[in-house]
Amino acid sequence: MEILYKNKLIEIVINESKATIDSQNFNFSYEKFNDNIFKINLNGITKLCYVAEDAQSIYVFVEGEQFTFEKYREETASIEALQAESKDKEVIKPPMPGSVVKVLVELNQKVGEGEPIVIIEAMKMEITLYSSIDGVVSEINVQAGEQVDSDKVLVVIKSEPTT
Amino acid sequence: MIKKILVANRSEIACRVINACRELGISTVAIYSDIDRSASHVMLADEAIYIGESPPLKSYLNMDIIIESALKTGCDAIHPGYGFLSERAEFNRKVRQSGLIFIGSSPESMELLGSKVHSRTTMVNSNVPVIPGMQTSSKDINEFKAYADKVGYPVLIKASDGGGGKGMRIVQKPSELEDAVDSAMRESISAFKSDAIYLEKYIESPRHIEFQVAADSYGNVVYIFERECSIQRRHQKIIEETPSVALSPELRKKMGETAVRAIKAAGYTNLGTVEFLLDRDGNFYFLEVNARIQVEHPITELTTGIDLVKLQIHIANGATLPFKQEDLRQNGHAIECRIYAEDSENNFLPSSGKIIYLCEPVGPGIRYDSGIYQGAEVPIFYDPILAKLIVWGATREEARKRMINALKNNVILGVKTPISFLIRVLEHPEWIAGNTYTNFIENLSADLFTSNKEFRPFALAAAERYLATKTRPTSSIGTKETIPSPWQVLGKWEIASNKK
Repeated sequence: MEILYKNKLIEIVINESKATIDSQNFNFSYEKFNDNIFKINLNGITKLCYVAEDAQSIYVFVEGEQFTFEKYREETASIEALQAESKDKEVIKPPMPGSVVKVLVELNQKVGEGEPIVIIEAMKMEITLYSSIDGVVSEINVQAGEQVDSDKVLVVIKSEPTT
Repeated sequence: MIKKILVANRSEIACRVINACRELGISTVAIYSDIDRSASHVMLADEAIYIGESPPLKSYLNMDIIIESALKTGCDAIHPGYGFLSERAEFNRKVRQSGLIFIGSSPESMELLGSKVHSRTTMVNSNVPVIPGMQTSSKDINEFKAYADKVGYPVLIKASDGGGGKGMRIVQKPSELEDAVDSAMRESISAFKSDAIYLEKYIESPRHIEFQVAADSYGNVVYIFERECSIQRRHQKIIEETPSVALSPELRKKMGETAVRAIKAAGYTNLGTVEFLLDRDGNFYFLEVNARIQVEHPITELTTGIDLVKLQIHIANGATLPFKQEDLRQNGHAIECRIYAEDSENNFLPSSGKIIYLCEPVGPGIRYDSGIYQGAEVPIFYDPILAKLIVWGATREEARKRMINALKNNVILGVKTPISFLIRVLEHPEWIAGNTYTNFIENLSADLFTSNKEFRPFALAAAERYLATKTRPTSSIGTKETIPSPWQVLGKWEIASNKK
């Protein structure tokens, strides 16, 4: 099984008492208490793990540490295409529904990695969204004051390597 | 005697107040907005009244509809909780004018304390120490120089009309003063359209120490000891404890008596909190009075045995304080952790969504003041507090270990929480040593923001087993193993902001 976590595809193979996780080999055993509660033993160390899912993600809780794995969506052609796409452009989306306070860039403007792109307001807080790549603003789909959902593409930045 | 209370709030504090009322045999009315139709406080109250749309201005901040709801349901009092309208003198006055009891101090005392200038003057006149500095703004650099020399460097230049750190400059030595005054003034003009700036002494690495006070309407005032709330992010407290390791019995008494003086000077009644900054040399300075129940009130309750919400109602009933200063004792140590829906790995950005799995910690000395349940939605409109985890231990170390264990047992899935971050703070040698101060998180960020890599393979294996052994039908076709690469990356907004 393959799982994508924080932009990295991780392969997990579990075979009886052996597990290979991210190319690392472990002695493995587990207990299942119900659909959500598992005891996982790797190389003799046991951790109690809680697992639950919604339509988008799988969530795991291990001793206070929380992990979120995003689910594959049918309309996404393939991971390879997705990853290739993410290299040459960046799509700025809000982390949660909110209202746009300010768009800080203009169309065709050059932006650098870490540059603030959009400020949105949600939960009584201002949240700044940044670019993670060097590039040029190729799309702006919102204006200040607009209410937006979390899957709304606010701004698209096309990659343009700095010389 | 109060027989029925409208609780003008939501989430955990509304539940806290409703539970206190139930113990006292007082009926309760909850209020709710569109999105809160099935919130915890609505379920818990005897009655619930719809008051408007989800944005706070249209519901929880709508004074008239809240008062009208209280009158319509035959309430005789309103409890404001914290936040929302709790410290709005205008609301307080309107409630009283409508013939209802406002559970809190008078509107006049709230107005006095709400004004930075007036409260400072009142405190100075009552021998309550305030941060030394200029009383009014100035444009004269010589005045700044004179004041800086008088209070001693480092000093802080602040915008009178400012907030959020804008127009603020820390000046370490005299040669930097003139430039700092100029640039603070420029920034204040551009941010607040005002060139009013002033100077005060800069307190380096202070502790935030506050005193709980209680005052009845007959002039009896006591302090119910301190809470240290130095662990803050975004200038908001996330871990509080009592007693503070920084207070000797003498200093505690001195600060407590000063807090009582401040409350008397303001003509304040009912429960309030006097906030101080404490510097490394044991000097303390008045910050402000919080004219309401505090988020962190449970740690005082666990160490003194006093139910503060019941005490508020008792005082609002016109009764005298049921104890004297000399009756009060601190017993053991209590810590509170605030469980917000937020992403500690991403600048504590609020997180909303649905609680899809919840396991509340239980055990000796553990208290969980909660506003959530499994299946509850966390709306985007309000302060994203989910719950408060409070523990008591005979010693600070016992309380610390109990808290860490309880955090590990507080399973919340579906929204991000700072639980692992809170554990890292409590495991940090500086916290263990009691070296806490308001920029603790900022200064130790390198230690605190590292995620625990050793748990990752366990989480991945658990996710794999979950999918491979699931008995319930899956909610998405994409989770079947037969479909190649069934996973997608986390939302890109996170990747973007992480790299800044």
